[in-house]
Amino acid sequence: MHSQTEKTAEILFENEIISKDELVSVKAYRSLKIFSLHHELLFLLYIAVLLLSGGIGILVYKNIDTIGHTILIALVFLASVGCFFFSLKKAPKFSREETFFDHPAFDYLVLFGTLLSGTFFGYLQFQYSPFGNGFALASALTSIVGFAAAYRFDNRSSLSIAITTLAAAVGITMTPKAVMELDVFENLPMFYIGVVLGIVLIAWGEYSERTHLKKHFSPVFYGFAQHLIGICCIVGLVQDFWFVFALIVAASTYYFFRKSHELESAVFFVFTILYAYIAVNIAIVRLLILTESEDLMLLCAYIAPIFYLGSIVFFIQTVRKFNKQHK
Amino acid sequence: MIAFNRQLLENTFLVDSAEELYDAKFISKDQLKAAKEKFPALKTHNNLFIRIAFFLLGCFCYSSASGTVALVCSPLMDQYQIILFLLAALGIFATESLARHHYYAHGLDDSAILGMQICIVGAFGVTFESIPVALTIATVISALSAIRYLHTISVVICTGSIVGLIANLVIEYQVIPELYLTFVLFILAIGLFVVHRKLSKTEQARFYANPLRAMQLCSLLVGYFSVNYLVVRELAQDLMQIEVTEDKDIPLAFVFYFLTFAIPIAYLICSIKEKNRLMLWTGLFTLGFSIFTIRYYYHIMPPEWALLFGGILLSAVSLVLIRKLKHRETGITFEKDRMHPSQALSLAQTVIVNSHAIPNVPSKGPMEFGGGGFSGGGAGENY
Repeated sequence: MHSQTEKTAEILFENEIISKDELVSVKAYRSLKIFSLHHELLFLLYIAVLLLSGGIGILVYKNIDTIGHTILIALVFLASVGCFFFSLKKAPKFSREETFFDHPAFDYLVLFGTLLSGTFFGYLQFQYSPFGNGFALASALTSIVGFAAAYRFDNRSSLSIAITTLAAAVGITMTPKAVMELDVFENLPMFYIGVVLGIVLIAWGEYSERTHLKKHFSPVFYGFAQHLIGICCIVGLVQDFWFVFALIVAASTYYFFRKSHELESAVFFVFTILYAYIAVNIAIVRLLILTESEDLMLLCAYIAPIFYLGSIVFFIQTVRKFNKQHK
Repeated sequence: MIAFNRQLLENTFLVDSAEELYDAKFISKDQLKAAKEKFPALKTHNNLFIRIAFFLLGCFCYSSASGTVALVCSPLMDQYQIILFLLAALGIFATESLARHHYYAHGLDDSAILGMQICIVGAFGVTFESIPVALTIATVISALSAIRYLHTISVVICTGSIVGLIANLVIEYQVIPELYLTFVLFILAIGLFVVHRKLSKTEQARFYANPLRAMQLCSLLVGYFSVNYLVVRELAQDLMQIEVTEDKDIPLAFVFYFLTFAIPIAYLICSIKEKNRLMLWTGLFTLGFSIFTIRYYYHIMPPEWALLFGGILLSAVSLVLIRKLKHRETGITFEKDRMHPSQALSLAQTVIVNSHAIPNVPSKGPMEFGGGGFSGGGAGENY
C-alpha cells in the first residue's frame, strides 16, 4: 500500500495537482522507511492491564472469607489510589481542551486505577453491604470515579467504563456481549429507563460541546446514546406499547440525522438510517399483522424483493448525498 | 479476467492512496478534491460500517428474491435442484451486472458474490449429494470470484474449502493415513505462502493487494494451526483413538511442542525484519494461542497468578520496548507513522474494556460477585 502512495504522488505531480516541493516531502518521508509499533505496543500494555485487573479480581474473589482478605482489599484500595496519585503527579494541568500525558503509558495506569476501583467497590458491597442491598450504589460509585478520572486525565477508556457502570447502576447491562445477544434489559420499565438514560447522555454530549468542556468526549456520549436508544426502541417495538417507541424512533432519527450532518460523521449517519430502517420494517410487519388479511401477506411476500431493491436505491442515494455534502 | 473497467480500477487505487496522503497531511483537501475530479473511480465505500449496511441490505434483497423465485416455482418442488440452479443463475447475473455498473468493494457486490457462491455450491451439493464435490465446487467458484472480482473474503473461503476438502478426503475416504493430515496441511500452507510471494511480484499485484493479504494471513494461520499441539492432540484422540497418558503422548509430540512455539516466534522475527504488520499481528495472536495450548494441558499455576504474572511480564516487555523505541526517527520506532493512522485500535480498546470492567449488575442477584470481571481478558488472546 505504501509504495503505492509514492507512485500516486508522482502521478498527481504529473497532473499538476501537487507541487514539486510536496512530491519531494512525500519521497523524503517514505525514504525514512518508518515502521511504527506505536499502536501495537500500547495494545500490549492495554492487554497487560486487563490481565492484571482480571488476576486481582479472581484473587480477591477466591480469598473472600479468609484471613487475608482484609489485607488484600486494603492493597487493592492502596493500588488504585497509588495509580491515580502517580498519574496526578505526571498529569498536565486540567484543561477544558484535549490533553496528553508525556508518556502514553500513564493512560493505562489511569485505566488500571479505574478498574481497580471497580473491584474495590464491588468487594465492599459484597462483604459489608454498607450501601444497602443490590449493587446499584457500588456501580454508581465506580461510575463517579470513572468520570472523575476521565475528565481529569482525559481518558476515553475510563469514560466508557463510567458510562457503562452508570447504566449498570440503573439496571442496564451494556457490555458488548450483552448487546450482541440483545440481553440488555430485564423487564419493560427498563426500556423507558434506557431511553431516558440515552437522552441524558445526549444532553451531556450537547453540554460538553457547547461549553467546550472536553469537547472531544461528546461523540462517545452520542455513540452510547444512539445505540442505547436504538436497541431500546427495536426491542420496544416488539412489545405491546409499540407505538410509543415508534414515536421515540422518529424523534431520535430526526435528531441523529441532523447531528451526523453536523459532525460530518458517516458512522453516526449509517447507524441512524439503519435503526430507522429496522424500525420501519418492524412497524410494517406489525401493521400487516393488525390487518389480519392472509392475501395481503402473500402479496407482500411476492413484492418483497421490489421493496428491498427500492430501499437499496434509496440508501445509495442518501449515502451519496451525505458524501457529497461532506467531502 | 478482471471484471471491472481497467481505467476506473486504476483510478480507484490512485484515489485511495491520495486519501492516505490527505490523512497524512501531505496534500490539502482541495488537492484531494481535484484528484477525485480528475480521476473518476469505481463506486466503492472505504467506510466499513456503510459497507456492512449495504451488505445486509443486499442479503435481504437476495434472500427475499430467493423466496419469490421459490414461490413462483413451487409447482416444480419435486425437482427442487432446478430452483437452486435458477437462484445460482440469478446470483451470477446480479454479480456480473454489479461489476459492469462499477460496484467494487461496495457492500452490495459482497452480498451478491457470497450469495452466488452459496447457491452454486448448494445446487451442486444437493444434486450430487457428495461433500467432496461440493467442496471442490466451492474451491473453484471462490477462487474464480477472487480473481475476477478482486474479492477478498473469497480468498478465505477458498482456503477454507481446500482445507475442508483435504480433511474430508483423509478422514472419510482414508486417501492417506490420518497421521499425515497435519503434514499435508502444513505443506499446503507453505505452498500458499510461496504462491503468495510469487503473485505479489507480478504486474497485477497492485490490484490484488487485499486478496493477497488475505492469502498471506490464511497461509500463516493454516501453517500454525496444522501443527499446533492442541489441535493435533485433540484430532489424534478423535480420529485415531490415541489415548494420551502420563508416559504415552501422541506420536512425534516433541515436534509439535517445538513447532507450537517456534512458529509464532519465527513469525514475530520475520515480521520485524520484513516490516510486515500483518505477520506481526498473526505472530502475537498465535503466541497467545500457544500459551493457551500449554495452559490447557498443564496447570502450572492457578489462573489468578498466571494472569498477574502474565500481566506484569507483558507490561514490562512493552514498557521496555517503548522506552527503547521512543524518539527514533527512522526504521522501527514508537513514534506514530503519519501514513498509518489507526483510530480503529484505540476505538476497539474503548469498547473492549466494557466487556471486562462491568463489576456488578443487580439482575444477577447478590451472590454474583463480579469485581474486576471474569469475562476476563476480553481482548482475549491469552487465557
